[in-house]
Amino acid sequence: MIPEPLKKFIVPAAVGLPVLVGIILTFLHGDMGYTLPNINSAYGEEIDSLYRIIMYTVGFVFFLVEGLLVYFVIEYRERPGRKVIYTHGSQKAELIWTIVPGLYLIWLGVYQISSWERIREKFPKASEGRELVQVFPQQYAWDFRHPGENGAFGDEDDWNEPVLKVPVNQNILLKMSSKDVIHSFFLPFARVKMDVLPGMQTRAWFKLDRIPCWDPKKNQAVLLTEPEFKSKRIAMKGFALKDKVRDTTGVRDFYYEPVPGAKVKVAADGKLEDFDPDQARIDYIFHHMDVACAELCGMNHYTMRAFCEVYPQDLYQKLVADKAEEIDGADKWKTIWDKVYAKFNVIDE
Amino acid sequence: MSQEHHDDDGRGGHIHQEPTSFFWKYVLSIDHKMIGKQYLFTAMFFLLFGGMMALMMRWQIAYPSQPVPVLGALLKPLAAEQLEAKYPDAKTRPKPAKNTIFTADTLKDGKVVIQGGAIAPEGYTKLVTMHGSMMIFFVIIPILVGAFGNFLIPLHIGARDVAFPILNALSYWLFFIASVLILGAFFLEAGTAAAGWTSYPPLSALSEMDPASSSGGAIWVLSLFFIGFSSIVTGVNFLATIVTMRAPGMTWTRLPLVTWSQFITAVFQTLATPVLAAALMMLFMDQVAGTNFFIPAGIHTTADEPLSRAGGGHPLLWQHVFWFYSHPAVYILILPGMGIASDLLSTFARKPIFGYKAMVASMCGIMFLGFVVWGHHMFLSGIGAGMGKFFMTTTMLIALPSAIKVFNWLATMYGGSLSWRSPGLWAYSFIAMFTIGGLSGIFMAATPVDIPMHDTYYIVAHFHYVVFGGTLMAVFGGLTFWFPKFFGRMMSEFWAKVHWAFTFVAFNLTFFPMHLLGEGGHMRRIGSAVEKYEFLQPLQGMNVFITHAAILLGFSQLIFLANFFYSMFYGPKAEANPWRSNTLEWTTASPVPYHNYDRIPIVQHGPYEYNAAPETTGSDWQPQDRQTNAAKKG
Amino acid sequence: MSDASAHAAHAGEPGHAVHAVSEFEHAQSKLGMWLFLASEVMFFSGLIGAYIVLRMGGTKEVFDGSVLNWKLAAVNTVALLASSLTMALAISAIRRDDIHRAAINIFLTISLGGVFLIIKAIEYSTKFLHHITPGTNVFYSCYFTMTGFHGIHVLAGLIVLGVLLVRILQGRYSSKNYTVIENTGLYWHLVDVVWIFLFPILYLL
Repeated sequence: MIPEPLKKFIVPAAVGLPVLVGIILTFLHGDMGYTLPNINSAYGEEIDSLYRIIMYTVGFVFFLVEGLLVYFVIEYRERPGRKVIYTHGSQKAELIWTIVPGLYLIWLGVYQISSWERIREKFPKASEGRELVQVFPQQYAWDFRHPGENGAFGDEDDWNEPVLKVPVNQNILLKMSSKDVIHSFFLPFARVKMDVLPGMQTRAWFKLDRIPCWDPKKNQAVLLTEPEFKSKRIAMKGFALKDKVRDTTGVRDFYYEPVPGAKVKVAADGKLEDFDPDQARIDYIFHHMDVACAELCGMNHYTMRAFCEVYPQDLYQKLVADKAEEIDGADKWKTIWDKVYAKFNVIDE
Repeated sequence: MSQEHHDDDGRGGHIHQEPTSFFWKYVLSIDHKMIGKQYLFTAMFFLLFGGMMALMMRWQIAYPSQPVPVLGALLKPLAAEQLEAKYPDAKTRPKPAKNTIFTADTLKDGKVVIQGGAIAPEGYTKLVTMHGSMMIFFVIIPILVGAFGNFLIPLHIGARDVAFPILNALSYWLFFIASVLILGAFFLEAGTAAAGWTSYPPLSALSEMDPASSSGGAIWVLSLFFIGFSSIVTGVNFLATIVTMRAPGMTWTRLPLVTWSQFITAVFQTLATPVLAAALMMLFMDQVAGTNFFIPAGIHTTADEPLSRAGGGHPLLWQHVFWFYSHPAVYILILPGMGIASDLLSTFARKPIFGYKAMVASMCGIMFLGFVVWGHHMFLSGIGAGMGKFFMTTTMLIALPSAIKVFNWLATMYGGSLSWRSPGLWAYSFIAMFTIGGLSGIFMAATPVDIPMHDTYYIVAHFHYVVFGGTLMAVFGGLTFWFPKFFGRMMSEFWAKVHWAFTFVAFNLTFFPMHLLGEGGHMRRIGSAVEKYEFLQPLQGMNVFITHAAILLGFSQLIFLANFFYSMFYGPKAEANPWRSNTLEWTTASPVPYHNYDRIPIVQHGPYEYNAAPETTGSDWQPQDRQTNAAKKG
Repeated sequence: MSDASAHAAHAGEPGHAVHAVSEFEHAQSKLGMWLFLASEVMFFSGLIGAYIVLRMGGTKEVFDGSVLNWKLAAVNTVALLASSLTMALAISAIRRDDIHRAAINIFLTISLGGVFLIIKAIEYSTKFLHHITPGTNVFYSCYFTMTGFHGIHVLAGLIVLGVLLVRILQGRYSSKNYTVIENTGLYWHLVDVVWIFLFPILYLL
């Protein structure tokens, strides 16, 4: 069937072809399969592109090494008359495969230092325009405290919520400290993660360029830029947005009041019931993204979820102004915040 | 007559009479081979136990709140109403159990409405903690160092025993005490520790933070202290043995790589483990004596008032001291496996190891660098950016020696005559799986990429590839290979291959998708992600798949156990050197006699002289105590 | 096999009859002890390193050595140093087969070590009477833990020395068999050296 001279290519082809396919797939990896959305315009793409670079180089080495290994196991398998190449080594080979990977690793290290500095050292200063949020996790909930209209903490207009509310396209600087044990603030879509410890303050910063919404017709989350958001009909505001997982098939019911008093129910298939026609024409529903705790903090660590809502800048200003008008009566956290924070190294530049 | 052959050579080959009573022969033995077997059997028990816990965890992840099959029904605690029914007399009735791993039935009007036997939230964190602690401290280190190290080091260097045989026995019994402690914790009311094998304070130091921490954590600390003590004594013993008791002609450059790897491992054990002891003692003091090494001031519980502890400590201090040991510990977990893989590879490729000196130099490089990379576990823990840069650099560098080893292994395979017998298959699998684990480490060493990867399943995939795919596969290969020396019989080659095939496939099906879970942001140590997090819901299908693969992987190990224990008693009797291997242990009988060698061998050359001059010598192998002179017939 | 070799003990192991320890066993045993001492150095380094870190992050009010009784500790330091001297004298005595002198010096070593422990007990009990415990603040956490573990090592050493004293008087050691004593001496010197570090770190600086 196969001509004799070509027979010696069977094994190399059988091994080499999957290797080649694998290398190609690696390069396509980012566009295939499941990857987290990345909406951090400050350094999100830097992280993802560094990841891709490593994936390409490491993926190439992976397929090369594994391909050679499988090839050797088959090609050099024990057979009668097999002649073994007796050698103790080759200095030249050692030099090559020491120096080349060494250079690669050094290059990789140097290449990503500036990214690391940007992410972990060069926090946005007040002069660059930033929103400050104090993050205060405990077993098993998150609390977020904003400085209010005057931008400074420790006075009457500070307000706190268990939901992280931030403006889009604005530097956000988180100052974090834990009430009890070590937690870790993880905002997956923004590639932000930082441990939060008791007794000291850690910081993280990011900038988001998308607003999480929910597409009721496709029944999935969607990420809109600020112009897109402004050009669509979004249901939000003044409502109790509840999302309730009814059963394990993932059907959800959203309840919202686009205007006070009008209740509209949207079922999973996008159909609207009990609706007022004027309010029915919505494109998206205002949604949120997940904040998770990424450090084991006790038995209910797995429940430590918070929401992060991203607002267009004008709506965010309105939110802050509304908060200033609310009578903040039972701010039980205020004394703890001030008591606890007073002892920490609060870096306030 | 035979006694004259047992003379030592004046270099301290101690002469023992072989004990005759059961107690001195099997229980309180000071013979390194018997001690090695004691470690092996104890560790195999923990392998089963730890594996079972992993399957329980996987069940919870895939089927949250569903009762665990078989175990759930057997082990679930009784609910209050059921206790009333079973113990009508209120005086003798035990209280409902708290802090249990399984949930109890929920009853309404005397009827069970929700089945118990599912993994409770506090149960999940205990399983996570115990699975990790047991696998690292009670399985891998005891097998690699306690079993293989003990059994092989004296044989490989041509000695009759280790330098300090009685201390050797002490090492094992310290390990045994640690085992009793860690298992005993399951039976206490407080239960086992639940703060992860890394046991970060303040969670692990304060019982107010978690029902099981502190009291369960204190037992954990004591158990680890004993096992650390055992480790240190073993490290001292092995270092002294390798330095002083090598047979004549066994120079450092003629040592098998198994021995070199044990030597470097022993350095880590002797110098790094004491730092763990210091960390454990400080944690213990925090747990029971009210000290504040790791507890800052002003710490609260869920109540709004601060705890009445003086504070002044720092949680990061624990992380530094703990990881100063635990990073070298992971090299303890891999180096002996690398040594085993090297020896197996050379034997089954019928070729010398390519680049012996480079292999030794790489291991020495790992030894030095291994002490200065610990901070890469702490990139996101609150250390300064500058410290992060330092550790990133050293971590990038330490990838290099492992890469060099992989290339040398590949070059060893090139042009060899590769046997597909099961120890060989395990050796090739080791190289393949270790490569994956090592490459995934580069992602984490690049600190910006570590940000989304840290504390996700990406890390879990990485270390399972190196420890299971690497070390454990080398262990399976080593057990099959040295089975004749341990027990005088051969394992079934057919069932060994079946076990290898199932394990290799199921292992990759279980752990490779975890890389994808990590990319998707799936955090570690959470018992049910899907119910709680919207962004993880697309990943649940993968979770279920992984659980099924893990169940296959777990049950496949029964094949190995059956083969192992059946062959121990009924396997075909083995000859002295069934694999035609060069190292010294194959020059003595199978099983190895009590005194190891009739005469202490005199070593002529390195351990990897395969196919040196097959036409002239007539064989493709050359034991270490035979001349290499091609003119001489083998 | 002759009785002597059948009973041949490992160096460092309580032996049976009086017999010679070979030079090889002596050197091997000493190497083992040095390796063990290296591990002890790492243990105390862990504790001392932790102290340094905590102190750098702490306040002078808390990390104030003057709350401790440095005079008593100075006496302890002298006692330990002297005990190291007597230990060395004991070793050199046994190497000259001077059993009598060796026994006396071991006895003195034990006594001086005992003085150390008694003074330590006085220090601890006065603190406890003033309701100062390891939990009082982080400085005391360090103080009690570091001196406590050091004290445990001293106690262990004294127990071994006690056994050695009995056995010396039974005539089990000689110039050809003194490895155990020399190794115990090495251990005792380490215990002394650790105290030389702890004393200034905790009491003086």
